[in-house]
Amino acid sequence: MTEEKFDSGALEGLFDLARTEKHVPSSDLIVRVLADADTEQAVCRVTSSKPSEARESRLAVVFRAIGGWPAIAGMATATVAGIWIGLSPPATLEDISSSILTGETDAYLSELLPGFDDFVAEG
Amino acid sequence: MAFDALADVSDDALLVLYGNGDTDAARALTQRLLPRVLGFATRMLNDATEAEDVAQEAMLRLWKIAGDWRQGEAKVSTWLYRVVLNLCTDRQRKRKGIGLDQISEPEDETPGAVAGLQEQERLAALKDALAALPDRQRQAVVLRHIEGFKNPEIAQVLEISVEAVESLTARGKRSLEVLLAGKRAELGYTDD
Repeated sequence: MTEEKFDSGALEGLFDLARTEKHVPSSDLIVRVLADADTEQAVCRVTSSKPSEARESRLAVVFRAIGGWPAIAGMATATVAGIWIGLSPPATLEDISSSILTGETDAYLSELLPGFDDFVAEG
Repeated sequence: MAFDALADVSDDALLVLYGNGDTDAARALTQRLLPRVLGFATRMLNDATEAEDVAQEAMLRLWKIAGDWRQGEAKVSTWLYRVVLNLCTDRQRKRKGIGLDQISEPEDETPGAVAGLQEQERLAALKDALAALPDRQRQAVVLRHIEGFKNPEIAQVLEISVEAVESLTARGKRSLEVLLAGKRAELGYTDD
């Protein structure tokens, strides 16, 4: 029964025919699609031009740039230590600082830095 | 960029242009992709109105993703066909959920530009046979033999392996030959 046979060649012919079938979008559909495109483009434009809510403040940028909380903790410790040393300095440091500040006894750089003369002589 | 100058620009470059605010890029993409998307949705759903809704929704998703689109990472047409396929699958599931007796007869108002009664009969026979195939076989056969995709592209659209695509298309074609058996003379195919 040749009538019962539908060979692959005939099937390819049907596929060829189906490929020629054009599905032309209606003008109404095109208008709707382009309206969507305009709307989405406008939304995208507004979103990109508006400053982001998540944008960091200047203070936050500086805070992050200097290293965040660990750096702040280190600086606070150094500040407190400096104030404490300033208010009640150790005895050895007090002699040197008082002689420099009051001028009661001459203090020379060469006394504080014994190798300074050699450094100057060598140029 | 002028509309005419966009004819040779690739789909993904057009999408990036659209994302950057080029108004002509949307028109070029619509002109290029909407007929294909509409045709595929119509073949999947056999319903012109539903196919239009799916096509519009798929294009809307394309516009929405434009800002995040990375050029060269994926093919726009492959991505878009996957979206269409998922939307069609959702609608087909809803149809099945409604129940067969509540579904109106498919109304395909777009017989296309094919002239001639016999050609329309042939197309109708092919549509009926495709509709009788299991979903995955129908999708693979339509993408391969009507939409003209290559097997690796179909694998991306269907999210399966290339081997699975080959198997689906082969089984689909065999099933179509069986389904169309007996209609050869009716459709005007005569032995020379």
